Amino acid sequence: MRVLLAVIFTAAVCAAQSYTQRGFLESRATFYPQTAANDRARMIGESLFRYEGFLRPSSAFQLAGSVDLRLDTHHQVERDLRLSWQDRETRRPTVEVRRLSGMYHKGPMTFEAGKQFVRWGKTDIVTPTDRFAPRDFLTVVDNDFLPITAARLTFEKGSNTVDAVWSPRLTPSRIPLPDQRWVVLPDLPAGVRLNDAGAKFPGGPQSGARWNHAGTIEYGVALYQGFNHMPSFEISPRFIVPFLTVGPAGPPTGGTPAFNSSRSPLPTPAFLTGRSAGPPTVPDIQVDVQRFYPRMFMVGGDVAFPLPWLTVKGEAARFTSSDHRADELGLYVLQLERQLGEWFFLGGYAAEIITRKGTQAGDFVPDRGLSQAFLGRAGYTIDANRSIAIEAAARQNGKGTWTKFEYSQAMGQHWRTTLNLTLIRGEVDDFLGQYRRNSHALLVVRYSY
Amino acid sequence: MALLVINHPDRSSDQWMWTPAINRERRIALQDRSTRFFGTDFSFEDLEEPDTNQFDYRLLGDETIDGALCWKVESKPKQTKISQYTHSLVWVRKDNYAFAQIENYNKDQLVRRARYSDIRNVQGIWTAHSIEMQDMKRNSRTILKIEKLQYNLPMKDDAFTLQALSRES
Repeated sequence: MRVLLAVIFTAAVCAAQSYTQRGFLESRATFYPQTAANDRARMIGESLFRYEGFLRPSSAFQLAGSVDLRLDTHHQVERDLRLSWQDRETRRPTVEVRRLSGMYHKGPMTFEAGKQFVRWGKTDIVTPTDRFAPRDFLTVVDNDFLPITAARLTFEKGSNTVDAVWSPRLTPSRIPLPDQRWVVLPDLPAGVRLNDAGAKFPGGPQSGARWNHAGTIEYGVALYQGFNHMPSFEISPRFIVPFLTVGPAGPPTGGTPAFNSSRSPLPTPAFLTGRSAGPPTVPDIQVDVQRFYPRMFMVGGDVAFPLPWLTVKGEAARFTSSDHRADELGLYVLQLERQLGEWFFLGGYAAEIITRKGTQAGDFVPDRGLSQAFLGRAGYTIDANRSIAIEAAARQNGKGTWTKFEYSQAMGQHWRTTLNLTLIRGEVDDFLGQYRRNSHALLVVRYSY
Repeated sequence: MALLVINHPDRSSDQWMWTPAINRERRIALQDRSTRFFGTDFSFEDLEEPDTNQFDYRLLGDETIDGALCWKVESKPKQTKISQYTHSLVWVRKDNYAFAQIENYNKDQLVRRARYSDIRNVQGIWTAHSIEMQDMKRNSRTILKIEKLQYNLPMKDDAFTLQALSRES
């Protein structure tokens, strides 16, 4: 094998430079035609400023830093100026360290420690083996990855790469806020109210290893031991009468409420059947909802092989847990890709097989929410500055669909505008269908430097 | 973004692209090499450095391009080389051995034309600092300008790996 050429198309990289920087200022306006039961807002504005800097004192060592500053109109962003490192806030932090890591490279070894991004797997829409990649799901269908604090050692020899990752503490995915439209609360009988009992974060590290072979056929095997970064929920009903509380003890941890069930609405206890529009009765019943992040062990693999007309990608993982509250399951996705002229086509199917049902009251697991579904994406590059794309997901039982149309146009070297139209339809007991009042239009204007 | 091209003597090259937005590399499948590179008039294949061992060459004569006398050479990919082009015509300047123009054909139809200009001597190597690629079917063009160029820098093998793609992006 002979290497002839490597073309690096990036403004940030030049061997002679010791410091490079990049970033952008982005403003987003979201318009929802319909109000939701718990959210009357139709217009939301957000702004994000991101700065990334790279210091390279030598060819073997690099320091990378990145910070995000945010503002918004809908209180999805914290209102204080506290600098966030851990990403455990329920709302997005105003000032966040997005990356701060040191990377040392020598021969076939690369070591990076600090706050960084770790991506595993090969598929695009659902990635079962991507266990070190929590996401910000405040707006479920437009999500972004969150960094983790970790040490990562990579050994690369020829076509083989072995990746070992150790993270001292869990970075959870950020889930939708209960007072906003991306949480669809169940109908509750009069006198019953949900109370956020906060989160119970696990102690202890996460670790994982992945071997990847990048030959004509690419394949990888991954192991992960740690915690699910998607929360599950425990509920504890309590009877509250004046001066008396009856029920499971345990003080709520308070904080911003955050609870949801992605697969089904929170179950209503049988003794609370019947609906009432009247004023709350005494005694009230308070249902404490607490997030927890169950232990998880994952073994999985991914493969990609090119055929004459298309590329086939597959990814599967088996999840087990020593926590009886968590489900044990297998999750797989099969995906086909094809580039045809200026068109890019991607289609796939994702499914889960539950082998043990846990005792948890609910979960927030969008990747499983997109299982038993057909997924597709088509993109067309109009020219160097303009592109359109359409993405869709449809549950095989027909209970939910999600369609996104996107038009993007660059203006000059620095400006880009993107218009995104999202249509969600379905039934209330479906992961996608529950958001049927959240179809929206999104306008993004970005200045990159 | 970053693009890694690894040429093989006995088969088509491997290509991977890294985009920081998704923090993952993505392989450019063989059937996708004719795709335009991010909407420009260059295709992924055009960004490969052609391995002379994978082509057969025939001298067609002399012609003048932009006032410079050139050899006109036809190149055809060997059977082991998979290409979107059936053949190319290459004009090589006699005074400095730099490319002056390349025309890429699919059967008899001209698909793309690259014109090389702003040819400067860099460390003894004459190199075009401006390449204009014209897509004949779309009647559009893209100009690639080289702002900084150094030859013979010491580079290690590990600079040409998937890991290096993510490091350098």
